[in-house]
Amino acid sequence: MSDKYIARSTGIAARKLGEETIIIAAETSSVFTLNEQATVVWEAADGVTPLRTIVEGRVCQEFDVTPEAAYRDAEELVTKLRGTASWWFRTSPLLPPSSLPCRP
Amino acid sequence: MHCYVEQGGNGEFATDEVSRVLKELASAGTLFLSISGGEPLLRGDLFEVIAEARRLAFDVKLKTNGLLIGPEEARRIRSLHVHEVQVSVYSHRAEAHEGITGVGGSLERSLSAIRLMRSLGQRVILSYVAMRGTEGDHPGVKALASELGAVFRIDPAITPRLNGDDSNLELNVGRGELVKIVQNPDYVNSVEEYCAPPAPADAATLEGVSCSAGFAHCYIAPNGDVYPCVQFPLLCGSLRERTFAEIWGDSPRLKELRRARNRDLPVCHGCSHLSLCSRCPGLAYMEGDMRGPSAADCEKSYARTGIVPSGSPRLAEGKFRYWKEEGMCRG
Repeated sequence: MSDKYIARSTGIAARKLGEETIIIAAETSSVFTLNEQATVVWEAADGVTPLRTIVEGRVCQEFDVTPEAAYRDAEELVTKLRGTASWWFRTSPLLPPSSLPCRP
Repeated sequence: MHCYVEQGGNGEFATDEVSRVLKELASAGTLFLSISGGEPLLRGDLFEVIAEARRLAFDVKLKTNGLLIGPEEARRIRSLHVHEVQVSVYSHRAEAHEGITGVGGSLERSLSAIRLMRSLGQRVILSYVAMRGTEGDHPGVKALASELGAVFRIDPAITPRLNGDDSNLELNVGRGELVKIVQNPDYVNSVEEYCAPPAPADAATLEGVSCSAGFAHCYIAPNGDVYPCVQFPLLCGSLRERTFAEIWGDSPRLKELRRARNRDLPVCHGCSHLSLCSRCPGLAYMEGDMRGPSAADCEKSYARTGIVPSGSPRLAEGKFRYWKEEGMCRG
């Protein structure tokens, strides 16, 4: 199975409030609220860390969830947000990641 | 001519001060940032400010007259992912628009800026301020917005200047025109819902507030003074002296504002329009009491529903402040 890579788009606005994150895609004026688990994936989406590594190294460490279930949830999240210009989705690492919007 | 914002510099923040405040706002959880004026493009560092705001992942909106937006400025706005740019257009007729702006050729320059931004895919709001002398121009401006691919919005009210000078209220359209606007689908999505008779106030209404000023948003003046809203001249602190978190969390004036629920409003809590009224505490403050009624909203409520609010004796007597025109009042 090939690795998948995700990176936050430079076109979005986002703010972490408590454990959740609100994101707004200016292109589509879409607004989403990410729960705790999705927030972990969002924060780790640097374009160079494979999605599976994010799930196994971060999500499964912080939440009581199996790698299979967590990966399935992460893929569903990525698919939902792909259509909103919220992040990029690639099958190869994104280099360099320095142009990504940093978090406060 | 009509703008409520006072003119004058009064020690504008330097770029590094703006940058510091943006970081404080982001840390406090602020997501939405509207940059307005005066005219924001008069600041030579505007794009530096926007870039920093975007780096901090703010959702940025820009209000401008568009006169200083050429191809390069349009490109930079677009590349910085500004969510939307609002440009005021007072009339589709050049002489009428320029009679208000006082700048020859300003309509064509504003439209040119909109065209440039739209050609790059930038979302643009074309804002029409209803005023005496141009009140019949709403369909023309709407057609212009449609032709340009911009979103059309109507602002029906001229409000007093922040220094208390209310001579600009004479520019408000008449009551008959106001009724046409607030009952127009171009102004609200659902006219039927917006103009329905008010429901009796329930417990949730009495515990609620009519405006999020000081609760969910605030205004920061160019010199760092913090107010609950751009239309609410209640100084709550200076960002030159305290951090945003300190002002937002500790200001006695903000705390006082937040304490006032609808049930605490001495006049309005008994008004039959309480459940639908958009009472502006800032305008009420300028009329003498932030917990009092704001005449503009009493009058707008009447225009919406055609029903004279029982809590507004002035309206029952036909005493209108904002939209003066004879022949409509039932009282």
